[in-house]
Amino acid sequence: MKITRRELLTFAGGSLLGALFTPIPWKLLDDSSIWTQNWSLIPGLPRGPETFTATRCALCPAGCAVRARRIDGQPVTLAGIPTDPFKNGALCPMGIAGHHLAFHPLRLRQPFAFTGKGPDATLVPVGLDEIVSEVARTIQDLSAASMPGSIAILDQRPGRAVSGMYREFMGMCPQGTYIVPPGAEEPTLATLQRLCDFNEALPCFDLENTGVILSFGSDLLDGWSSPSHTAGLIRNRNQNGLNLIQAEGVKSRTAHQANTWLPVIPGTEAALALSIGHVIIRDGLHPREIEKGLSDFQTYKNLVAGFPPDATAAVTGIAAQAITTTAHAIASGPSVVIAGCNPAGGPFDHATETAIAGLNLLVGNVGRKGGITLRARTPSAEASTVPAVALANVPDHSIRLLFVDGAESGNIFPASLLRRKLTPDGGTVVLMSPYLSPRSAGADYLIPSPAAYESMEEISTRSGASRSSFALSLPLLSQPEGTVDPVAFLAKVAEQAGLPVPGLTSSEACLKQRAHDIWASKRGSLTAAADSAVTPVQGMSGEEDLWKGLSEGGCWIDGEEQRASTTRRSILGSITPGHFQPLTAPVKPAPGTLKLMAFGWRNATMTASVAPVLSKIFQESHLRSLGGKVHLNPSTIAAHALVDGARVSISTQSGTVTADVVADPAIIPGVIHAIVGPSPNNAAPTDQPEAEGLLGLCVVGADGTWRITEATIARA
Amino acid sequence: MEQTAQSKSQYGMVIDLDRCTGCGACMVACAVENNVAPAEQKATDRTGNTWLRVYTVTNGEEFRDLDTVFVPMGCQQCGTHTPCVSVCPQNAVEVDHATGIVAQIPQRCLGCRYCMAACPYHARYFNWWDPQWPKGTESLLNPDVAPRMRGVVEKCNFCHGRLHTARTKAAAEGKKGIEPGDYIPACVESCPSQAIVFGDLADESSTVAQLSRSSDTFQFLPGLGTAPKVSYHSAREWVRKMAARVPTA
Repeated sequence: MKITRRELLTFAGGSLLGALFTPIPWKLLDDSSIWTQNWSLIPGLPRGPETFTATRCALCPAGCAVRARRIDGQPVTLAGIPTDPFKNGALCPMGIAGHHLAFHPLRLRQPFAFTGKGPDATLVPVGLDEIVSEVARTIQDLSAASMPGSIAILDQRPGRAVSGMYREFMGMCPQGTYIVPPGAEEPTLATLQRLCDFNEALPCFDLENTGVILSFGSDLLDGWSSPSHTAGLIRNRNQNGLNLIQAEGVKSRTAHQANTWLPVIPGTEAALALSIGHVIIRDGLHPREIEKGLSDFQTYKNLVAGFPPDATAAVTGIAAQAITTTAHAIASGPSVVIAGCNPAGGPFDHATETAIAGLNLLVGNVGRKGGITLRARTPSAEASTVPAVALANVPDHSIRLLFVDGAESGNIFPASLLRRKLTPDGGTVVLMSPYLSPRSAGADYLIPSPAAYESMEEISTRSGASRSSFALSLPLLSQPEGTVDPVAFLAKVAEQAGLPVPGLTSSEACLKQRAHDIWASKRGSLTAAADSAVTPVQGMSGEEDLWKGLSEGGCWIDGEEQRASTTRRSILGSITPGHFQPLTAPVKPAPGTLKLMAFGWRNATMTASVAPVLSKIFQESHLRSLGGKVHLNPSTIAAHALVDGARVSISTQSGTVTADVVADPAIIPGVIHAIVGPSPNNAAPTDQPEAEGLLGLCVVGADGTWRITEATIARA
Repeated sequence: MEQTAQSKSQYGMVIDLDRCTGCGACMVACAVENNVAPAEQKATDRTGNTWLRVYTVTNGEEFRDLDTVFVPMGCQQCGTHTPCVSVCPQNAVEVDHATGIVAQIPQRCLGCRYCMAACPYHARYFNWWDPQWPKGTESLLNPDVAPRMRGVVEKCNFCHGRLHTARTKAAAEGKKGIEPGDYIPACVESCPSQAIVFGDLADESSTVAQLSRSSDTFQFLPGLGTAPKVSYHSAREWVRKMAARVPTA
């Protein structure tokens, strides 16, 4: 049989056409897809045995319980533990990706030094020994009194075991000062400590048993204390009867969930608090014994007489009826009144804090179940002769050598507050941090400390908790070579400077010392992570049992209750009625000016503090705004002839910064809501810290607060 | 697996919008669980890749009367007339009738994005860039979920990797079906407000089935007849009306 050319072509064409109807093309398509999925740009997946570890998140002082799923020892997913005895068993978005932080593009992996200061400074790698020698020489010079100024350490997260070592170290240094940053303590409780004498005990909130929470701007669901704990209380309010009243000039996430929202004009919160006090006294809602118990009740009574609700409504923007209703609500039973501290906006000024915290004293909340109760200190905590000094109270231009502990407090403050405490030449700043951050810009030396989950870290009692506690965040990742333990670094410096070497020379040794102190006190009990079994410390055969339990994810909770046995109580403290005089009448802002307020989200106020995957909420959606954006009410935008998305210049007496406008009806008119937030995938060069941005525009007052700054806005 | 298939589950969820605080934990948990890479520097909300996205919706009132709702929106797992299935030229979208889950098969996807245009819920995302994680983070990826390449469409699949794990566990224990507590998507697990309830809608006694039938529970764009297996709950009338409104151009 002869095959013609035509037949051959017909056959080939038919075969080709027929092949299209066979699985071959699909197979080729699949194979090519599978090949592209395995090319070099697609990462391989980890393989190995699966294990689970119970630990705690150390990204902020809340210390939420974490269940880490590990493959071949590496953590791949983190989730909360709902059965956590602290009722702290859900993670925030930052905590969910906390294990990614160790690989942040801005991670420091070796010591660095800046050559020069200011914008021309260059970051160069240096040896650790070189830094130790330089710093030790500075200490020796200061000891010889040949240089003016003092030595200080800024502890970003006070109250830890390592904080005790920092204090000890400062005690050895000439003119050593131990400094705590703004917002390090819960402002309301710190104010109550100033107003009352609680002896050795610490005030705390009894939120489980309270009926009403009146919050002045506290982000209860977005970072305050333990958000998962407060979220649980608010979620169950149908059962526990909780009434949440949020007084805040922005309809925040907490305001959305509140039973009542009081949209108070920013800056007039003290007037609102005093007007509530006015109603309480006018209607006789306060316990009668308070009148005798408060040393300055009559002064307070005379003060609040000037803040009747009708007149105050015009000042605060809150209707008189709402003020009266709120006063009756907080006086009707156990309640807590809390003054907020925004992670970037900082605390209120002292007068406002006092006016707000004083309401707790007025309605008899202090010492009452469901109000402000007391807890005993953790054994050995802060047992030092070196007092803690608030950064704002440190004399200006007094610090020659500053160590900064880079542990995340979750909050941030303007760099200008720190700069003005240094000697005019800028002094020497040693920053111990895992990352390059805006804070690095003011440093001379950068010491790479371990990142989250790279070392054993302390989870001390969270702010406002009604019982002292102690737990450990366990290491899940290995430390990169070049990482330096801050405690070991300071011990080296002390040795080289000829100072007495501290008794504890590593962070882990500090933790073991605290565990020892707890065991020696025989107080409280250990709750195991595996089965929630509770073992009293008193029943343990040795301190090894306690350490072993803690190392397996267990937590110690104090059992000791304290009674409020105060001998001195004042409702105004050192604040005089004159402080509130400007609030008795409405204040009109100067034409063309707006109130600039910095807002941040706990643990997300700096680029390096969030994992790149947080781009999902900051960059790839509109859920949260990136740093460098300003939210304005649409009416404010219209009044300044701007449009949504416009590029604008914002000016204050601290300078001018450009930003992008976001129209946001949740912001009160007349306010620039400046986002001090992260840029998870920022394009900043990794050898230069980024600028401070909008936070740098805030003017820090004499009392160290920067909540409201007068600003102007114009198209860039 | 066979045993579960026989049970004919219909997995779904009910999201309580009055509880959602818009924290975003679900979005991040979803990305970590499903190996969704961080955004490329140029990525925006239009070109990003979020299998689950929380939208902020307001009632349109002025500041003092403002009310806002946060709406977590992922694939609604449409039960009928599934638009993405009908338009896909590659058969890259399949409805698993044993679970009711609408599956996306990236190996088959050629990136035409017809499905994205067809999806009335905007719940599908195109991979504009090669997935890249910071150096070292690759060792922290979830081994149960294969990363996808550039040029394909992705979407929520109710954490299918977790379903496989639950099935494996059930098989190892000799059980006929999986225990409800063994299969929980990452977003449900991570929600601090416990706003998301997940389960088998086919099981009449399950919490999710009961919630889906309760008053004030609704679905988005019910007029399209897609029978989503994701329902929402809100006591606020304006929220329910908003969900029924078909957006106009």
